[in-house]
Amino acid sequence: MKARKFALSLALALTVFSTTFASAATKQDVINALRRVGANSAIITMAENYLKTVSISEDKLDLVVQNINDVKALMDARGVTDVTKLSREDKEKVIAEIQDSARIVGLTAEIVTGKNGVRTVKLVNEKGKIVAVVAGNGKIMKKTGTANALGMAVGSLTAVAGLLALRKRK
Amino acid sequence: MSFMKRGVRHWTPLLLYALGLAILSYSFINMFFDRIVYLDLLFKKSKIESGVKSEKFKINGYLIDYPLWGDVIGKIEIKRLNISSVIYQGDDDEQLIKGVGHSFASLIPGEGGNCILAGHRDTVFRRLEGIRVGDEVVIYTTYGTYKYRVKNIKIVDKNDETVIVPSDKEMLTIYTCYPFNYIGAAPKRFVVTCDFVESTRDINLK
Repeated sequence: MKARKFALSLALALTVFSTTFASAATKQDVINALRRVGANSAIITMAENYLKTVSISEDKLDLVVQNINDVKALMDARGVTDVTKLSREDKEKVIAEIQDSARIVGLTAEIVTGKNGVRTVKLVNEKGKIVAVVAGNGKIMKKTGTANALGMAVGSLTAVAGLLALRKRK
Repeated sequence: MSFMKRGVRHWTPLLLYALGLAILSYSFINMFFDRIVYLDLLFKKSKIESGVKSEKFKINGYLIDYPLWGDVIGKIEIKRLNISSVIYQGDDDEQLIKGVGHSFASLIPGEGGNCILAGHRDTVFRRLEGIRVGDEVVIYTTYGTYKYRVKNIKIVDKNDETVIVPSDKEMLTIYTCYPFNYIGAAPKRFVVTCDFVESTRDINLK
């Protein structure tokens, strides 16, 4: 009888402990999951920086970790270590996981494809405010010059060409 | 000569001239308004504003609201070059048109890593080409003042990001497009890396 009671208590304790342990994801778990899936340092730092600004429940963090783990499982099934090497169809699945993870933490992920084919993810909160912009290729450096000088050069040349043609016509 | 041929010959030079003036005017007005926004912010008294946040972050002994995208982080000053600009969290067009943008993929001053800042070569960083090794760069924030000294200046291809990698020690990286007077999308980047010198708890937002 005593042995049976002890076994029952032990089983109960193990169940509670494992359940708690399994669902108690932390912000660090999210970062670790991103590392496992091969996210580059830029994306990891962005995730860390965003997580510094918000409180998210462990349940929600757990769901996000599960989504990232799903992406890892997909990559493992396809035998790739770089998410960009996935097929178009699989990339759409990854995008779906990203959008679901964003929704879980109260954000909307807007995927925009640039002229060079690079996808950018804009994360927007419920107030419509951008909280992060992530380049799909993980690039950090931006274009830091305006096209005004080019416009003025093209405009000047065009105007001069027109003026010369007008004079020649006379 | 047919009517169509006469029409084309008659109107083409005029259209070219008008189109050229239109493009020239648009670019000039665009540049003018960019300068207005930039100068307006430059002469305004900078103040750190924080929106509604839900978690505090400890840095330099202060508990702060970690800056969200679009928030003001502080102010950068390079006295010798007369460069002074507000630093915004984020480096999208919106932030870069207003001032210096902080890459969200990097740490803010005081976090003990690489702080990466970007600015337009024809506005906030138009004098950056004159920077020299040894120049002092100061960043003012609500949680302290951070001083750096220029260690290295490099010109790299626009796709070369080996110069802006994370660091486990406090440092600052500033970059802009290069050449400074290039017409069109500049093919290179002018990258300045700075060593950390000291920080104080002074908050000196001029």
